[in-house]
Amino acid sequence: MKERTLIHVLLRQVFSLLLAFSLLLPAQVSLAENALSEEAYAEVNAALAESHVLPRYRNFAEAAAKFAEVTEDFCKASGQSDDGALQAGFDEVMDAWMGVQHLRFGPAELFLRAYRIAFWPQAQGRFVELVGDLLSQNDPARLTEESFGTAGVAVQGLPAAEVLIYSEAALDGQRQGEVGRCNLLRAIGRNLSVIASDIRRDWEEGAEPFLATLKQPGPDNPYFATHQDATLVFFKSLHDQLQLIADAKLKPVVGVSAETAEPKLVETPLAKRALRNILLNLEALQALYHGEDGSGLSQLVAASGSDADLDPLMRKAFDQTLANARSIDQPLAEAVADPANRPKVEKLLTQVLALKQIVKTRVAQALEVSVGFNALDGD
Amino acid sequence: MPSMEIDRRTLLALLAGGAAWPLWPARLRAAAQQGHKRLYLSARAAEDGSFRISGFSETGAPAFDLALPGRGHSLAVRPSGGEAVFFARRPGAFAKVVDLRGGKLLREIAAPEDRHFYGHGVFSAGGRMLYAPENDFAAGRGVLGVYDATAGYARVGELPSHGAGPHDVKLLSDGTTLAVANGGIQTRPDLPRVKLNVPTMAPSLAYIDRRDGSLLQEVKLAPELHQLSIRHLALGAEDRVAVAMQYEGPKGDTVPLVFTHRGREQAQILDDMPSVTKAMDHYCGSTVFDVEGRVLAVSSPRGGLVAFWDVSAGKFLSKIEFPDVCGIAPAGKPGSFIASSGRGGALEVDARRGSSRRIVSDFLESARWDNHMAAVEI
Repeated sequence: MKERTLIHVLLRQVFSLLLAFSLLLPAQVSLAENALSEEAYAEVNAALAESHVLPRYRNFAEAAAKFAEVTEDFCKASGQSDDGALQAGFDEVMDAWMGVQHLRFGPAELFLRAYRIAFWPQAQGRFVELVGDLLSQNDPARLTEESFGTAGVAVQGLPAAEVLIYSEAALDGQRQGEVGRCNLLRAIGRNLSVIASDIRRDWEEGAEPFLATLKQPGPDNPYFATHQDATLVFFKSLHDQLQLIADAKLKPVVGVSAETAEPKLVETPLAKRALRNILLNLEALQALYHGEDGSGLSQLVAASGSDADLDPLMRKAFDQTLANARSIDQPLAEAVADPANRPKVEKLLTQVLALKQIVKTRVAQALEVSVGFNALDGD
Repeated sequence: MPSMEIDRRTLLALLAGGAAWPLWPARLRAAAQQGHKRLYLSARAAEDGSFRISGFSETGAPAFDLALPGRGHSLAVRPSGGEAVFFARRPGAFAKVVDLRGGKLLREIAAPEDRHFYGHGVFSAGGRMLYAPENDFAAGRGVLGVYDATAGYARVGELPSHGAGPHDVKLLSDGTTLAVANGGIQTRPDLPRVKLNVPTMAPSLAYIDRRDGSLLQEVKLAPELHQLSIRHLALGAEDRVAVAMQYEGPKGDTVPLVFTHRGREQAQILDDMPSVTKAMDHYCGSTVFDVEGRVLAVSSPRGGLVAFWDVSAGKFLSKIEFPDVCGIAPAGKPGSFIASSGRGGALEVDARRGSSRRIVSDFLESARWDNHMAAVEI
């Protein structure tokens, strides 16, 4: 079967890369219990929340507010303005989203917010269809701030905005004129801005800001019993996003050969920014690991003292992976079929899988977070 | 894709004359009294990273150990004939038929190209038909593949599961009613770990007539609990079905994770011990009844615990702690179980006392035990 062949090829590649990283040599891992204190976890959690999560969600809220303004201006200038301003606004808010896409716990998971921002991976045709339906209904009552927030998640966010902004390519023949298009875009812009500012607010304001929940674990805390528990969500952010990049953003697109590559399965296919998304994701994960100001998960890896080679290995793995990603000089959909760039894309997938493997085994062990054989996988 | 019309006719023809007879628990008890050997079955990963399926005794002595081409998940024990079918883990496409007495591989079953297994299955009471939850991923709908064990496990039809993501399945004592856990989550084989429809998922416990695939009854929780994936089932005395769930919603939410259901009664939610429900961290891994079908065990690998309830009283009994515990099977005595860990090792547990003892066995310690375990008398 095609699927199995692909997995075998990938496993072989990961294996050879792990060899290259000297991963298969026996690691010097001590089995000392609880090398890390609760204070050590607490310090890193607070630093990550304040220097990684908050600035990045503030940035996303600003970009979303700006995108809402751009869509508003587009409506005011109906028929007059070109799509360049919309595309620039979309790029900015997408950039900001890619910088927080891995941080899906806490306020981002309430009220389906992360799903409403970008319901992905989904077949691109689904967004085109849903946007086409809404345009042809042309019903202003469905686009008010209140009713649009409860519309189907797929039409509320960035993938639907992309279809509308790049509508000439996407909505071939279905384009219902600038008024319907601007009304729907404006509804999406407003909605994104509300969701983004609600996430930011719930992190740092109100009677029970999530920042306090994260920093003050305990028996009555519904989220975290210990500081170690809170570190686990940062660990999962790192692991799960590497998994998403490999499994959803790269593997289906790359296929087993240039002939079986599926360029249409890239993220944001119309905006042609799939590779940029991956780069921004990886930079955000690198920042989560190293810390924006030096206090990241790596501080715990170093403090655990159990696996001296691990921190240099992680640094090297991130640096090499990012350098390779930056060297691909075409959009991902084209690069997978390009003789010069395809090997780099294949290598990128292998590198991300290898990074995930290191994180799942050695980083998990160093952080003493419980990632069981049965506990991480949803079966 | 096979047509439903033909499937139903074929099935009805195949089933004609195959009278249903109650399988459980009388037969297991009778077998135990006749001095048969009790064998525990589970998939595992070996120390070298290879995936295997194993049988072992209550002392942890291996009876057989066979290689798998990929990670296994759960299994179906054939009621007559000392045979079991071990399924690949989702989205695997293979199942292995094993002779439990000889410890030998009998054959491999391959899922059709446009289907994959979910990792569970159940036999008809006479042991002829095997029902395996499968994903019709092109259509995004759940089905039960029907395989005829007497015809080399040929796939002779399929039934609708009446929901997305069917996972576990049990057969009630009438011999015709299948209880199916429709997890509600849509996945694709090319994105096996990505859940595609969490915002709109609609899980259900569906009772299905195995003769024609018709939906006899559907149990759904309140609309606000639609993100509780109905994943694993256990069958107790008097056809009480226990349901162990996994929550896909926000981490801070307080939601029940276990309920039981019987006949036309209301679902009975088991959340009388909030500290245990919380400790399970939104994730139940496996569930099973004791040999009498009265004490229910639910494992949570994330919580590193197994919780026990007396279901006739609807009352929490006890819990034991065991890191990355998931596999659990009834031991020979009422109220006792064997539990295994993904980190290696297994415990013998007395649920009434809430006590446990580690089974001394190099074999058990050397393996990373997979999600599910079953007990069989051979």
